[in-house]
Amino acid sequence: MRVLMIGWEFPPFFSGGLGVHAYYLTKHLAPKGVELLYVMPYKGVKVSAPWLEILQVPVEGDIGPYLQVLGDGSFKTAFGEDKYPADPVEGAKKYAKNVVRAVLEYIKITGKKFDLIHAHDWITFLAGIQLKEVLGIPLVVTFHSTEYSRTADRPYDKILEIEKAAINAADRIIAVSNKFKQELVERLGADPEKIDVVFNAIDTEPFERVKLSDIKKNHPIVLFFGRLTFQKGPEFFLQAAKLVSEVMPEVRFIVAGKGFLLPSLIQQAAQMGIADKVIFLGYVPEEKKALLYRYADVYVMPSVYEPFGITALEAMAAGTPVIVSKNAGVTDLVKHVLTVDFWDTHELANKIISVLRHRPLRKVLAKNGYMEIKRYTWDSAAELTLRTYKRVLK
Amino acid sequence: MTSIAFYFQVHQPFRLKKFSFFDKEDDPWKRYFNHEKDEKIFRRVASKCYFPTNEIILHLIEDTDGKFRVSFSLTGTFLEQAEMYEPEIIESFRELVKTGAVEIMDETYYHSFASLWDVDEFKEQVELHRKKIWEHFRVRPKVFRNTEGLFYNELGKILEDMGYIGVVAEGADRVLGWRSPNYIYKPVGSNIKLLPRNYRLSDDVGFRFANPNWEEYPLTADKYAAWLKASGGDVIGLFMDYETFGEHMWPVTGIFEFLKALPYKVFENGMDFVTLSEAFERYPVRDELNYDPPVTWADLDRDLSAWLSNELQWAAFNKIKELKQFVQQVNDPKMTHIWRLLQTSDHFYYMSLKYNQDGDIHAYFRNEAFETPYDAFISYMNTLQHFEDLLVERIKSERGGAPAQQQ
Repeated sequence: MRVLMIGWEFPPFFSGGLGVHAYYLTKHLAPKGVELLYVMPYKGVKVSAPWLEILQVPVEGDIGPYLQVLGDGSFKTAFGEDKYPADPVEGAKKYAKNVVRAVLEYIKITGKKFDLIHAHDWITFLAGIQLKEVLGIPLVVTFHSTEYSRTADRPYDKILEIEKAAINAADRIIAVSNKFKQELVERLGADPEKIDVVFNAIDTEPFERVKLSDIKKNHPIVLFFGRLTFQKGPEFFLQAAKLVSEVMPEVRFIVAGKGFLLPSLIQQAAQMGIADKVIFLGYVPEEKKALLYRYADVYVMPSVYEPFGITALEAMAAGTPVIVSKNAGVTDLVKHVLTVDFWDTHELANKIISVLRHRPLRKVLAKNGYMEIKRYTWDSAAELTLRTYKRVLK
Repeated sequence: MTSIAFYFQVHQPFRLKKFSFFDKEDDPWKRYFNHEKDEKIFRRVASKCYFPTNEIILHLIEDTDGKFRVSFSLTGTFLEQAEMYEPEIIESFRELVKTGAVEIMDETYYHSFASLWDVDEFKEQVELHRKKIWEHFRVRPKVFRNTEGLFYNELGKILEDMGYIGVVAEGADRVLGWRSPNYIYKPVGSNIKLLPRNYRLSDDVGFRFANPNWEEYPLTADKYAAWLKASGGDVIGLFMDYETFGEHMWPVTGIFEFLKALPYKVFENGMDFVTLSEAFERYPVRDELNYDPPVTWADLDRDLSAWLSNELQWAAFNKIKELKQFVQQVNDPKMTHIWRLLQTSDHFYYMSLKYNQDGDIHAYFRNEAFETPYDAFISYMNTLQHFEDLLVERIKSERGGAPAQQQ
């Protein structure tokens, strides 16, 4: 089976769950007899992997999947760089055009024929839809997020239109959790019969290797790690941090990740009088991630929207107790986490204090959580994806 | 002739609130316990189960001239909530007792596992129960049932010394071996009489009655009475939660009709009903049973694993035990009462992480209090920690206020 996969990111260059997903999914699809051409943007560095062919396509301007339309009508990347003088949807359209051109050229040169197209998230959907028409082969789309979820309900209507178009054009849709499938049905009008759920998974190995023995620690550590956007709820983390400090002044809070909310978060921490307790770490390189999870006594993911929430699995792989939003897709999968409503910062603070205070709770969460996620392998995610492929080819 | 000994367990715990560090309430009674939820649940169960089932039983006793006979065990916490929320329910039980066909049994007031770790504490809680039963019913129970059916050999001796003539326990296969549960036994190490629960026949009603996937569904009184007769022996112990009637099994399942018809079918099959002390008086001890290790009536494992098998439960149990010294020093009846309410087995059950076949049953009961076992543990431990701090403060301030002692 030959699959044309249109993506956006691929390690080592990625900023969200999309890149991790593409890496592991393709790695485990290849041995199952799926020959893959992975199409992604070219941004000055050549990317490669032994199990698939990568076709990099030039992009004009620096568009990205995680952007935020601000109230004043301007566009920002989720990471705060002001690089959107123009409409990002125009950028996506140009990217689509380039992808179509590059793929057709590739087909002409190699003479290869594809059985189906698989596109990931809105920025690749236009290309997917156009190629389906041109090549006359089925289209599978995976939603890792929606415009609603990424922007915490401040959607940009043109992006919503692209997502709805993809839902209509796709032969099958993959959602990353049951809860998220519900959202696709209710908010984007997808036909539930057309949706398969394929959970994200975790390769625990990199998280197990880390040893903390050389690092001294003088304070209990509470960790936030994610894009600093409305979607991920960092403000709720700060509010809870303030409450926790009232009860346990010795605790320190790490906010890791970058995003356009960073300046305002720093300001908020200062206004709350907890500037000395919150450490803003900024970008965390891939190889330091596992160490960071390990270093923390509890990982908190207070997302407003969370289609899946792969970082929760990463923290669990590192043996760190996890507190996540009740609405996070990952809670479909795991029982051994604590859950809260993201807006209930008092309850979040209660749970943070509880994890820090009760050693047996930390132990049981860590131990059972680790055992639990061991079951969710990328191999089974690839198996389920393959099942979806087979369904559209029938 | 085979006799039928029905015993119904009636219990309500004092459920905990979600503990918050940011709660400004000072009174631990108000801060810790979810009285609102308790009241709501109590009123619901009273109207769905206690009132209608008592009425049916009263009618059956009157209609059979007292030949239909049953035993009840009412926990102190149940009676306390009844006093608070529905005093008429106590009156309704009193009417039943007055017929002479209803026996009240003893247990710990707090539905606790005190027997496991402190015999003195256990005895005090039993004594409190006896007082409460006397206060309301003017009877002195002769038969004992321990929390969740927990029994082990050593407890037999303790109960015998306390003057009980008999005890009920789980008729677990590993204890009975080849023996039938339908006889009176004695445990190893004491001479107290013991009636094992016939768990198959009990659970046919208590668990399987309304299950449409059960091959014997629907269970009629006719069929069940025939099973009882076929099961034979001296006396069949049918022990179950009272809430089986109307609460776990809704009226639509036909459970009330089943109960109404059963006594007559039992008589037609040449059997009769006895209360537990009558069973112990009428039938001889047939053999000795070894209750080592301890046995309970819960789950498929029939052991303590629903309450005390994970690190959360152990930590919670150890902590509540540790507080005894402080509670004794403070010696304030209100604080002692709270400490004991926190010993109720339900709190530990909610923390169970057993996600096997019994997991659904655990969740069914837990959801009345907490969403997850972790939530249950967190509230319990934070409550206990807060309670400990209160006790320690009291001890310190009392010492500080009496400088003469320091010299």
